[in-house]
Amino acid sequence: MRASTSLLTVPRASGRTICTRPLPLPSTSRSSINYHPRSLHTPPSSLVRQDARTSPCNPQAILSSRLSAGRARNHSSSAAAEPPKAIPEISEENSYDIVIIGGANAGLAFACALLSQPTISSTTKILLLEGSSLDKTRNWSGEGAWENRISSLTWENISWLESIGVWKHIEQSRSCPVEEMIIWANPSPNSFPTIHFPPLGHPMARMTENMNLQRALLRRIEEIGKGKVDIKEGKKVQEMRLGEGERWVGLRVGETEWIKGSLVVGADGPNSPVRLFSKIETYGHAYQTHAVVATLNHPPSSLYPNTTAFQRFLPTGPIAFLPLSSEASTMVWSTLPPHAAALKRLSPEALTLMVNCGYQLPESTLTALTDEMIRADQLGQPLSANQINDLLASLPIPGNTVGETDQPILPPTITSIHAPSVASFPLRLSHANEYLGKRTALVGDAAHTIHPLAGQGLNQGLADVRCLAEVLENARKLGGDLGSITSLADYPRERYPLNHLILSTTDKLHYIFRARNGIVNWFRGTGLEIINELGPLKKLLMGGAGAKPNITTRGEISKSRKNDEREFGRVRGAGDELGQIGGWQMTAANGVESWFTIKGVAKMAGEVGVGLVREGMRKAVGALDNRSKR
Amino acid sequence: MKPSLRLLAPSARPVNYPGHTPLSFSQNALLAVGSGLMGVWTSRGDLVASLSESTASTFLPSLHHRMTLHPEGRQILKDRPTISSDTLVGLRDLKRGTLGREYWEWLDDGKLDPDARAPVQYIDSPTLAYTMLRYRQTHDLYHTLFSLPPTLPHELSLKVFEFSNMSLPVAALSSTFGPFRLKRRETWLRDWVPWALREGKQGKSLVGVYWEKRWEQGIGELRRELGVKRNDQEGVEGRWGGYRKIREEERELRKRGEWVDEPEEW
Repeated sequence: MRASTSLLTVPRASGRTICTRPLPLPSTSRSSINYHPRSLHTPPSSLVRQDARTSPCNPQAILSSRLSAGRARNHSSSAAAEPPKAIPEISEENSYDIVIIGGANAGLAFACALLSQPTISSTTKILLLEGSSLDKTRNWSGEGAWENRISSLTWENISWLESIGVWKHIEQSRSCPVEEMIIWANPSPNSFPTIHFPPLGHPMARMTENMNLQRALLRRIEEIGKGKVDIKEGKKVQEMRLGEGERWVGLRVGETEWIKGSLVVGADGPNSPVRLFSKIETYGHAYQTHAVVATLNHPPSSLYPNTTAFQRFLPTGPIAFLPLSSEASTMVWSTLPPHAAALKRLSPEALTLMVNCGYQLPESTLTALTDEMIRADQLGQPLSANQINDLLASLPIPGNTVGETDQPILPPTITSIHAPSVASFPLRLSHANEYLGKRTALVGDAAHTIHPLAGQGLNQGLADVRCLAEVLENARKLGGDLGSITSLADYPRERYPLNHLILSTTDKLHYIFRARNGIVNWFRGTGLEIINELGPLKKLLMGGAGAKPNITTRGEISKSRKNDEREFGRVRGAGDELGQIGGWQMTAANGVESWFTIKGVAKMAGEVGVGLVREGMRKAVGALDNRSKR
Repeated sequence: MKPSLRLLAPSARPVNYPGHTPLSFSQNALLAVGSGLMGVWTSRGDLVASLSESTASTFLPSLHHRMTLHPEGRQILKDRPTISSDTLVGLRDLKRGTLGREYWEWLDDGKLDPDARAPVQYIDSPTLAYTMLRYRQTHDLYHTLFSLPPTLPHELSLKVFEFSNMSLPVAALSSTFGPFRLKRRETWLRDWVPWALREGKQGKSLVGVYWEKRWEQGIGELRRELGVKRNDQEGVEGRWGGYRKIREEERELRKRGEWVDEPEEW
């Protein structure tokens, strides 16, 4: 969309004319936007309302501007708007090729990714702008209580981080490998559809605190980025404006201090001001869900190390158990907002009991217990631990005829919860309509937010960052203009469909697992059992979630192997997984195995179908009989 | 000689080694087709042998090349060892669990004789003829390596393995059409084919192994060295009697302390 230029030009004394176009910034009543890249607590719904109310970049304005493209039009909402003050001359040292806004996971990772690209890192001036201080990240000690923002890093991303020299700065004792995953639901007392991803010999993912990752990224930047990446902390961007000829962006960071960037990359979180500035809208919806996180303490297991991730799907949302160490794990319980608020108001002992119930209690009992909890909370007197125990004694627990062996493995019983770690945040699905604006690009949460049930949000962000760095490297090698659409176009071309796929799959999964009506129950139960049986499909699913080691990276994590010269006397070691070897023989072997599994599943499905039809016929005949008898 | 008879007389081509019967192109082609059809239909060993020889030019050069890639393979091509009943002398005295002793036991159980393999006749180059001979003679050693009895389903599994390991077309042919004669086709397909394909791909190329120098080596250690495993999948031993018998014998001997090698999987 080509916005029309205003006829108002302000000739400057130096002879250069600057065509200023009154930018339809969302709030022209005040001339600054406060940027809070790290704020988690701005409810997205309120932000949306604010946009619609004050922003002239609503659909009507854009539509009307398109219709009147030839005519000069003042787009600002207030009637008497003067053209904003011209951008003063920006010095050479404040001019950068790439400006990264946001110093959290995505921003720091992008800086490291750029530094790992040879041409870019030697020819480009890069600036990282972060509104608050990075000292907390820099000085994070790696000891003490666990943070409550913890993400799972997939194997692919870890290999990449290792290859760019970041992983060596990670505090390894605080990063827990996830070797096994158990996912289950319990929609009715007798059914426990489960998917069990067994240990493969290498971890599927590593649970790492966000602080750990950010400190490692920052250390890497400080290690090799002297003179290449400048970091300006504590500088909030007050205003952004497209520069002359739309060939650069001016960023005002103080009252009068301006920075010029040829490309601005927005890594500034789900309520991205860069996205706002680029007038990129998002689609998606808020899940009526808040996620409660907490650090759980439990006794170490006597048999197995704590490397299993659990996730149980309740009708209100999934509750996940993610291991951190032998005695501590983290919980993510996505549930309805009133439930989440009530959970946060419980005392730590009561919350411990509720969490254990969440993992272990049959669904009907849990629903009754939760209702009681909500009722008590609304009366202003949240349940205490004793009251919960009494309730548990009195509520009916449906006996199941399945027997112990068919129940899924459960996470360890929690003994206590670290009270300061309890927090919650709202969940929202959103995907930006485009990733590229005029001289801007979006990465990470600024581009897409996702339900945490698959643990993919941070991993998608890292993949975005990696892709964008490669695209910019290619553009730089050819001497292209880094901020132009043609140089950047490969980035959304590669990432947009993939991100969209993951977002929509997670969204559908969320719907499927929330529903509790009979039809969806049956399909879900059968589907889970089918997926659990189809070994090759499971391997593929895990591969899609990045659990397969990347066979092309060098380094200790995986060994690359040449086909022709197989070593004499090579012993097959523990790391030689079948998944690593390619070749038609492996494909044929997998094909034969899956053929049989599919045949078995088809037979099962056929039997079920026949059974259903027979049932239906019998009921129909019965109904006819009844009718004829009457 | 009358023209019609000239086609039937042996050609005046040079004889490159004792036992060599040189063929012209059309004679070769006819032999291939004929023995192919009859050999698959009635599994006469000599017909299958002639089939592989007549189609040898397609795969022998690459098989030979694979042998030359490793120092052990090159040594074999230089020394040209052959396996006959003379080599069996002395193997009986080795301890159980060594390659030599197990080979002897296997031949004894199946009442087989290494001399009974058909000699190579129709391949022109002596080097390639030796490669072919080596391939044939070491077939029994594959049986020993994987503890497989000399029955049809296991022959077919080994054919699949050879196909996967060395890309031999006769192995492909017989592994495609052979199984139609199996009674328990589906079970065989499920139990043995994926295993054979995987082991063939993962293991070292078996033509380049100097078996004669390894008679005293433990079989388990040899398997580890070559990067192959026996078929340990669930239920396979239960379903295939001959295989089970051989494995159980091994377990018995281990219990009695007579097996020389360590178990592969602890």
